[in-house]
Amino acid sequence: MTGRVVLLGASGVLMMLLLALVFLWVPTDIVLGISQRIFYFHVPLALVAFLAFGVVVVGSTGYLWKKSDRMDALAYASAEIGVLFTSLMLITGMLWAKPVWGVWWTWSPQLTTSLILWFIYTAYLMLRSYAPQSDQGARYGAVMGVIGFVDVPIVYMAAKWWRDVHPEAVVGPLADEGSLEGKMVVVFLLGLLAFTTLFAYLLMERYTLRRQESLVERLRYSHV
Amino acid sequence: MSKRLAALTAVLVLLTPVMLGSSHIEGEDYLPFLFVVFAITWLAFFAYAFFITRKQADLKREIETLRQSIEESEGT
Repeated sequence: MTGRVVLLGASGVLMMLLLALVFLWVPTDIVLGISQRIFYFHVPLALVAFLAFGVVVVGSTGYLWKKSDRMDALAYASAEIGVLFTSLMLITGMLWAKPVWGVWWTWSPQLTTSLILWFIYTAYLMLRSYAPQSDQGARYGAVMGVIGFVDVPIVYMAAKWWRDVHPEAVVGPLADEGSLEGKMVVVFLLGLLAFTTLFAYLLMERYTLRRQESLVERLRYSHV
Repeated sequence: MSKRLAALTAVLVLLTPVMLGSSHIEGEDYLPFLFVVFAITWLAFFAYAFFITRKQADLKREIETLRQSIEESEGT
């Protein structure tokens, strides 16, 4: 419980700090203007979504290997939070696209592959919800969770492989040196830390809830 | 939980263009977009955390009830 309170408090403080720095400290981008500040939410959301799907792979692999219910609960919890982060990444992307490109949505390769990623893990959650037996659902879901992750590097590489309106990566191994100004890097890293902390908190809560759901199912079964 | 998450996402996606309109955007008019980004992100996380904690409390009660009824049926 203490760990969760610390994570929640830390993410709250970091979010407040992020908000202050985004509005009061970081310089305005010369080309994109004020709208560029959406970057400090949009990109960390995307990267933490990738992290969440990475955790799904770890949990799913663990389940397939050891048949551990804990690993399955971890994978499920992380998939649900990953879908939430991906949804917000898509929405914030749309809100950035409208002022900059003049449209809410365009079928740019990076946007399209991101939407496919959202569909893959939404389908994962639907599969888990509608599977007739929980073991069967967990097994199929684990396979889907691992295979679905293939789309993550494709989303990241899309802007490099298929050049179009979406800017190339400014963080990570594909980023050019100096693509972000010093203060921008600081605020971006703070945003990444804030969202990662929030992810860790939500993951702990959702994992606990998933374990409770499994326990209720078992108790109901033994009661009948 | 997944159904609620899907419903929340659908509402946010559908309402966003309505809230902001579709007129031509210049200079300071970017600010509402920035505001909506922050508002939607925070609202979504608060709503999700609220649903989780409320469901946890419900399930905790249900677990207690089930355990009691199992103990009672085993006692008889």
